[in-house]
Amino acid sequence: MLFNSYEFIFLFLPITFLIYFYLNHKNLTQLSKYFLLFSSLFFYSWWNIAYLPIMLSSILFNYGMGTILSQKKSFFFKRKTLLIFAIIVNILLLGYYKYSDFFLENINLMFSTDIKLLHLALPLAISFFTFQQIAYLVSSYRQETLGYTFIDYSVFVTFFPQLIAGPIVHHKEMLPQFEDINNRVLNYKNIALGLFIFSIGLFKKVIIADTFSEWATMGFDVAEYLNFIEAWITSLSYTFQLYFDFSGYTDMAIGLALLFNIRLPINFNSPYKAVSIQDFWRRWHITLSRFLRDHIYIPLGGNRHGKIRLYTNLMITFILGGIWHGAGWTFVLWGLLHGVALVIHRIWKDMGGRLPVWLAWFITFNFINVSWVFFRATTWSDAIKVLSGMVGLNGIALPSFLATKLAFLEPYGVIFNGWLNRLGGDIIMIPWILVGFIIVLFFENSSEKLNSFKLNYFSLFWAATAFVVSVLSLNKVSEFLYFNF
Amino acid sequence: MLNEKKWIKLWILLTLFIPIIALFNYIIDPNGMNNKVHIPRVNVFKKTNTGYCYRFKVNRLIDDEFNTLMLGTSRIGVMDPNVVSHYTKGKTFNLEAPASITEMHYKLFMYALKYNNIKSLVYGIDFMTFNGSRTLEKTYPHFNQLNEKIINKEKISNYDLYFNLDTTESSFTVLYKNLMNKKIVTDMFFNNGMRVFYPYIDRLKKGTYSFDKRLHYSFNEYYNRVNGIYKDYKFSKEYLYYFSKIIEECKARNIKIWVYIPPMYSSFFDSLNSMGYFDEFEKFKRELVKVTNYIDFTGHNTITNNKENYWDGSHLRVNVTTPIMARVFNDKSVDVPSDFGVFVTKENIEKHLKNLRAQIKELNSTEILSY
Repeated sequence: MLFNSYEFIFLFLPITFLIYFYLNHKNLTQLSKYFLLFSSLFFYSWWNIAYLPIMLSSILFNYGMGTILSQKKSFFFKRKTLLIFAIIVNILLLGYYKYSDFFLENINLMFSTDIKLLHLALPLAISFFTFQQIAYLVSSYRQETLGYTFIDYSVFVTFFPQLIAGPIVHHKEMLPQFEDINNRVLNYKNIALGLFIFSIGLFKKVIIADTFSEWATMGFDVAEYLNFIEAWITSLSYTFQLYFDFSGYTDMAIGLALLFNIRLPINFNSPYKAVSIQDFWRRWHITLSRFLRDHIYIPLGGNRHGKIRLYTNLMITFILGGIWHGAGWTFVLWGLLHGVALVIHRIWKDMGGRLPVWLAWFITFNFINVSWVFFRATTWSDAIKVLSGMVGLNGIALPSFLATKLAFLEPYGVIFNGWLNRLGGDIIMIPWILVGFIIVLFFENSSEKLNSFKLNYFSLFWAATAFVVSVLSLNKVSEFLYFNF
Repeated sequence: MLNEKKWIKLWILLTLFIPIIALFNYIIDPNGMNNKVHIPRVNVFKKTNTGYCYRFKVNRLIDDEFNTLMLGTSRIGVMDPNVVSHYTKGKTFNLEAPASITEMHYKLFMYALKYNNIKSLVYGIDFMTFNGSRTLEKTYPHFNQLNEKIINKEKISNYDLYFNLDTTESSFTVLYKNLMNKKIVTDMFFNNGMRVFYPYIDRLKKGTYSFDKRLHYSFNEYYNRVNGIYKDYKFSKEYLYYFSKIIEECKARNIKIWVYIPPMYSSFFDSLNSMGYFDEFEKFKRELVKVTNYIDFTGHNTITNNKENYWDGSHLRVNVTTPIMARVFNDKSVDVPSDFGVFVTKENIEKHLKNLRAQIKELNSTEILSY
């Protein structure tokens, strides 16, 4: 079920909310927990019930392994061996569903074989619940998870607001909240805050991200023909689409969790305001960065073994981060680009290099914008086609009303018609791009709004308007981009 | 400042705009999707329903009204089902889908079978329907959105159309036009699925209609380098498989079937050669005949050389349904030009293709592309 669907907004959510708090009101707290688990599994199964056994098996296995790992002594095997075994099982599960075809394609290419691809459907949320549970296993190994029941653990993994696309939550920040008796009663402040932030998230997804998505899709479909301006509109549209889509989803998740008195960690902190690539990764998909840092970068040695090792660790971490997003060389390249950028940034910092803030922002934003082209493109050549357009290799076209004023550019190959033809010719794209910049650079982000939220007519008007306009624009139900990862 | 409870209550109250707007849209019904409420000077004149082609058509199919289907692209959509009914002695529904691929034909056909006792299928098949570069995901998002429901043969509700800002905008336009008593001139589907080009008819009446201009729009629609219907044309075996499945399904269910390739305007036929598609066009016909015999109306003949028979390069005027169906149903009582329509079999295909190749007139490809 999608957050941006009628069945979720008008049926699933109100019914789940009312029954959950009714059960708690009647002191049926254990039953309310079961009900929340059942609701989350129903929510997950709505897409395809065939995925459910996979997720349930994963939960069962990891809870079992976590229980064994959290014991001081284990029989038969060393605890560390068990931890490695459990992590490998998780990675194999993820690898089987997510990377089998990628692996086979490359085998076929390298050895000129013709092994049939498996064409497995990727179980929804597998990348997210696998990471979440690996973190739990590590905590269990460190004996930080004693006393959690199977139901507690299952609710933590499956809690529907964060199940499909994160934030990637840690048991330490979630399970105590589910246990807190104060969170079992209606909290009107949280409900108001939750409705506010959900409405904003819905608006970001339905109105902003889905609008940019049309131009991004159109542009990437005709990548080989894009002129200079069209190519930039295409890449910027995707840059904004991705941000508003994913941060919109996160806002909705945060808002929904708040209705149940649960605070999810923030996942975005105005990432396009970043003035360095390091700064960007402290602002973008924060819970993924946290996972990669705690479970890959630091175990690899982090910055503790000299510079060469540090650079290598950064590269490995980001290449793995790229692969996590998808099974394709474009994702590997995207991760590699970010790894290289981080290494360069480190070297630059170590040399004491400084840049004016505006220049630092300009370089960072453009790097991110260009790297998203690889992230979005289905093939390497598609990415190159868009980038060729962005550097003007497919020509430069300007609006016809500039023909007389800028006629001196004609000898240089600039033409004055069809400047937006391949994107449908709608000039509205230009103000939308400008609005996109204004929002990402000058507006408060959702976590800031959460902190500054005031119960007044102004917030009421914005929340209600955002909600009404978004619901009335749900005609093209589109999935969230991060559902694919 | 407001207290929490009041804020929440007011938020809920304001969101009641949503059902109010939905009710307004349901009553006005700007695209004629429910036709439940008719109020003079309010909602009698409607906007086009062709924007909701698949919804409209599948919704028309669920009442077990029809026993004959016309299947194909919009080239078939402009033909009159009543002419077909005359031959099949039943009630015919025009199940066209604009610029569609055979995958869509198969799914729509199976959907129709679930709800209707279909006895006859008149299938107009086109070159474009086998272009493997056109896919449900990429080219037909509206169909794709309903794909699963169509495959599962579920009834498709239109309620989401009423919870919609676009519909609201249309409702206000329709309300305004009706209050002003101004008819809305737009393409429409009749209840039998036939498409009527009212704007063309209107221009014809006013004397502002230009066939040559429309022909050039057709060239652009098909050959546009960026998103033309023939862009990156590659004959799809998968789509041929869907076509074969329809034929097999008909045999298995004892449904009579007639297959034909509709007549495109002769210059459009020539343009296929000028634009480098003719080998593929012939391949399409060769592959088709391996599955079934058919009548081929393409090429230069008395009907296709006459502009008066066309709205543009591919869409016929409705009166041409008569000679086409007379030829399809072998009705000797209708005077059909003898050069119109060739019955193609495995035996005569090569001779037929050679004959068609000989008819080609050279057109300037740069001129075609310039539109």
